[in-house]
Amino acid sequence: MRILIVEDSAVLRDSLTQGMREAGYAVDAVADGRSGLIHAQTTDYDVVVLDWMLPEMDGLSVLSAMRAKKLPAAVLILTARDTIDDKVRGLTTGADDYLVKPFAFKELLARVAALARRRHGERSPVVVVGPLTIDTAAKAVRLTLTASATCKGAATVTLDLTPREYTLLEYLALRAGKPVTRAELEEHLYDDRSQVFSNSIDSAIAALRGKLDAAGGPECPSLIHTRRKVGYVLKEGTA
Amino acid sequence: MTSIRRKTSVLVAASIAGLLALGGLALYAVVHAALTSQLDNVLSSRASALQSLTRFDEDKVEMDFNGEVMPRYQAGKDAEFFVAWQRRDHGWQVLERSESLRAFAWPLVAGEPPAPGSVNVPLPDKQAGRSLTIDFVPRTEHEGADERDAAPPAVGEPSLAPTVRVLVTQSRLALDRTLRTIALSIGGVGLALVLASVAATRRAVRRGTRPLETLAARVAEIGPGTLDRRLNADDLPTELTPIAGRLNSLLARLDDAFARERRFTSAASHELRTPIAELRMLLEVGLSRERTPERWAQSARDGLGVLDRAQRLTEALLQLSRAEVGSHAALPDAMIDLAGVMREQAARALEASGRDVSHVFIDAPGPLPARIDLALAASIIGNLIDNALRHGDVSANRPVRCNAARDAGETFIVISNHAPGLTDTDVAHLFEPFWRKDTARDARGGFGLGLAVSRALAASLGGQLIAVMDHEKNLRVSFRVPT
Repeated sequence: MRILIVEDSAVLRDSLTQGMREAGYAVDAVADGRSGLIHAQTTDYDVVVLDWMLPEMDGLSVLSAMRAKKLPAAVLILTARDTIDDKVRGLTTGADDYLVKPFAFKELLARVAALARRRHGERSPVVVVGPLTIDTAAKAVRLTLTASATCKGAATVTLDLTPREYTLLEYLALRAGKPVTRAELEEHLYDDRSQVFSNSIDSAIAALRGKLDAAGGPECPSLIHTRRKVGYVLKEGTA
Repeated sequence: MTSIRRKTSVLVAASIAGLLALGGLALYAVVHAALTSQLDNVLSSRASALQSLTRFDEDKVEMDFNGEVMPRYQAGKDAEFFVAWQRRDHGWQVLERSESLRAFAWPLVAGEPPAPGSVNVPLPDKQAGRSLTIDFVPRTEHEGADERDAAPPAVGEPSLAPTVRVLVTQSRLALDRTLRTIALSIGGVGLALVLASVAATRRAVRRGTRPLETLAARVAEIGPGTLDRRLNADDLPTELTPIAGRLNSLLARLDDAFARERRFTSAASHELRTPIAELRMLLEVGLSRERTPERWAQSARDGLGVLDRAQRLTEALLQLSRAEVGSHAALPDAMIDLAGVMREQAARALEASGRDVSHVFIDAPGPLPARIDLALAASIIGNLIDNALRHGDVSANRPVRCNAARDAGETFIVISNHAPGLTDTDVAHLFEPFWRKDTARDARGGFGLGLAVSRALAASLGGQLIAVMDHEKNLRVSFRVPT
């Protein structure tokens, strides 16, 4: 999931960026409204965390411009303005959520996770794709195997994934059944500071497949399918 | 608590009752006078009748009184009385008396002649009566003449007849009874009218004061949350229209003051929440993982920076609070040169901003002595120049202009700069606490409190700060103090 943080306080911006990255998000951060709008227009962010009082262009103007351009990113307004009128104004301008400073980081993470899920049409924090169960709150992935001729035997296996592998699987799961291009994966899984090579996505997919196959056994059908010249799709059964 | 309705009702009812009482008394007096006069006329006619029966004949006065012809003078119920005296050489002698007097000896009415008109007297049976006494000289009876020709002596001809005094008396019982009935009627009708007038007054006053209740109800509907409402004066009577107008004007001022207070509270709250949020994030994210000592050291430095800003904000708020509650500063003993203070502050501000000396133009014809506090004056003037250098469009071609002058008992320090980004609306907000053209926190550390503090300080010196912008977008902030 890729997040944009627009916050003029350097301390807050740096802390949020660090915390969100450590939580597994790809994060870009800018200090003023104009840069925020440019970023939002040029990158398909899942969630934008937007301060209200910003230099150059205030948060509500950025939000209005985003909504006018029909940008799909979910927007969470993060501000010290705490009156009912302020909240109503923020939400009616097009914000998906509103959080008043000071706030607990855990709450912000939970709200951003919920917004990211809803952005892809998923309301439940637990996403199930065939035998795969992805708990987006605990960031845990379980594989439930039933005894069959092709699989090892009945069991529930918890997969040990790296943060990058988890975010890749989570994104594919949220788009389960639909092909996802490499470019889309790159845009949502890597931020501006990441070094993305031409085979980065393929390597990550290969590693993820390896772990899924290892857990399910060589006879268990693979869940990640390659669509030639398109990308990948996560679904149960054959491609 | 005094009720207008009750007070007005009582006043109007009392006035009506008073007027009715006066009217009743006057009516009673008129009726009383009329009926008494009627009785007096009867007495007068009785006396005249007795006079006509009296004649002087052959050295003797005679009264041809016949009780049967005049039964009213016979003893009995509702009898009338009379006594006739004739003057003799040694006093008065009873000539005739009514039978109704029986044995009662009516005393001679004193006076020569007796007092004119009727008087109230007690009757022999102790009841109230009214009497009339007249003196007359009886007509002289000439021999051979008809009675009808009898006439008093001609003018100039002395009469030999003695003076006769006749007293006629009649009971007042009927008159008094009638008067009492009339008095009771007037009193009863008057009381009924008073009661009716009280009820009518109450209704009229209630109806008349209904617009006051309407106005009070409308005022009661307005609270701290609905100060933007205004009283509708269209359906109010003309007497209440100015009150509604004044109340609306008061509401507008209150609404403005509340809005200013809300903006201040909201802005102060925003400014105080931000450093708390920064520190909280710094610590929460820091504690979420194992960190290196170097990372913690950086977090500590960041936290100190946040605290430093929060401390400056708190101090600025305290300064504003003290300046706003401070009364006029005591006048110092020594005079200061305001033009000199302006030059010093311009030099300091230039150095602090790192700008070239050509960015400030000073126009001060000479020393401007003023008896005000040096530190406060320096703070105000310095802040104005700092603001101009920080926010103005300043260059060698468009320097900040610092003018000092004196006019009409006031000393002016005017700091002006080109401010193309400011609108007239912005100028109206310039002195509001936390107001900034850009809604962001000021990267140079400002909170938007400087001008608010300066204005409060200027007021504490008995002066004022005024900001105006001309059509060429030159902002002029004047610091005026009485000299």
